[in-house]
Amino acid sequence: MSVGPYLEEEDDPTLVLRCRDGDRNAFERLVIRYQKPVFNVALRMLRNRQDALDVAQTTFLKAFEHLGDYDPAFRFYSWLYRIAINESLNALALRKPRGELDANTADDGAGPDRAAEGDQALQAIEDALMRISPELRTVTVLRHIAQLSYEDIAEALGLPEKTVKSRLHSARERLRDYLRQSGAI
Amino acid sequence: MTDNERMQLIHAELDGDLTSQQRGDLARLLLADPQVRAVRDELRGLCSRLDAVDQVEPPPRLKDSILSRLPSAPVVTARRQASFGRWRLAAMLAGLLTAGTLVYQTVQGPAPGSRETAGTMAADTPTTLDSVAVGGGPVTGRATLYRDKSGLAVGVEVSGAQPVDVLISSEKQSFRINGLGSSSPARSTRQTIALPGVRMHGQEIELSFLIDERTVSHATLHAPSAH
Repeated sequence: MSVGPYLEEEDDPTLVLRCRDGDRNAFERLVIRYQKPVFNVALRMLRNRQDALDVAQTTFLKAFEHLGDYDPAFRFYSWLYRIAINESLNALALRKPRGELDANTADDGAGPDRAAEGDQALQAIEDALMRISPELRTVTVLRHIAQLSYEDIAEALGLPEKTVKSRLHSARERLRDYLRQSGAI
Repeated sequence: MTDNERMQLIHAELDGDLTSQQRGDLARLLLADPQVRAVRDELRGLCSRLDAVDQVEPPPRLKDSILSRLPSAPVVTARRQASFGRWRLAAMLAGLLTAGTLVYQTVQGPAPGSRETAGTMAADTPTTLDSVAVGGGPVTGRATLYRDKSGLAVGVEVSGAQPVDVLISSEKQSFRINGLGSSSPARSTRQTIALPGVRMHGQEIELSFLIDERTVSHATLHAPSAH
């Protein structure tokens, strides 16, 4: 089976260099490439579609404005995720404490079909995610939602890999506890 | 063994980090202790559910909204320009160093049963020549053909429930990547392999994806003509 037609794609470093040379189309390519993962990271961090859209927008605008500060020793997407996580944490810090309301009023953006589907398992996971600390949620989202490697997460968060693993292990155990409490497992 | 050590073993298994010694320890532990088995099963289930969380499509207005708000240009200072100059230089050096450290083996003819393994290299700043999606079977992902200063290279990123071997054939040469996705089930794994001696002249580069030596998917990359 021959898969797909010829596709012309440029690598992130090439696109970043073109952006630096004033090519706005190159930045548009980067937005197209990363808007979905960045939006999803923000969505799972915040569990609110509008907040996630705001964070995604701010992330790309900040990336563009600070493209000159980007250290090419790092992967571009790690840098982008770092901005997205920082913006998500800022948004969380600005929220008024809502306690249990979070679980009830949160909007995951999946639309009205979601309730009809009765996807209680997913609902339980999302509830549990919102109950762990933002620090633990960050590593969980980057690992399991963004599917980053430990190396990429460490790079994005500026942490040693060992710390990333340790946080993820704690996060899994907390999530498991919450799922047990809620009867989801 | 302490509780903490037991949990570390379970997490190491989830992360695909177990050594053979640890694998044996865990297997014995699981056989001996149903409580450990239950914890491990719950954590495995949790990870599967987390990995299965749907990716939500952002609304089209997000891109437009971002692009309409872009300032005229990124701020560039002399320091930043110097940084990018160093980047270009570093990328060139990385390409040369990578080419110099490649370990590879060339197999004459596309021998599907062979276990010859070509070496891999870290991607530097190559130009993408072609990129195709891989899918339709138990393997999904993307294959990309690059060119950099050291020549052609193929990058493969796959997700599969089992380790995937990739056989790359270009005319009379074959290269092989073994065990992609093996470190952690159902997780995307990337690897880039150089194709030393392969020149661009409009030929096709065939990729076969194998699980347990059985071909489960194919993809074809097109190298453009050199001129």
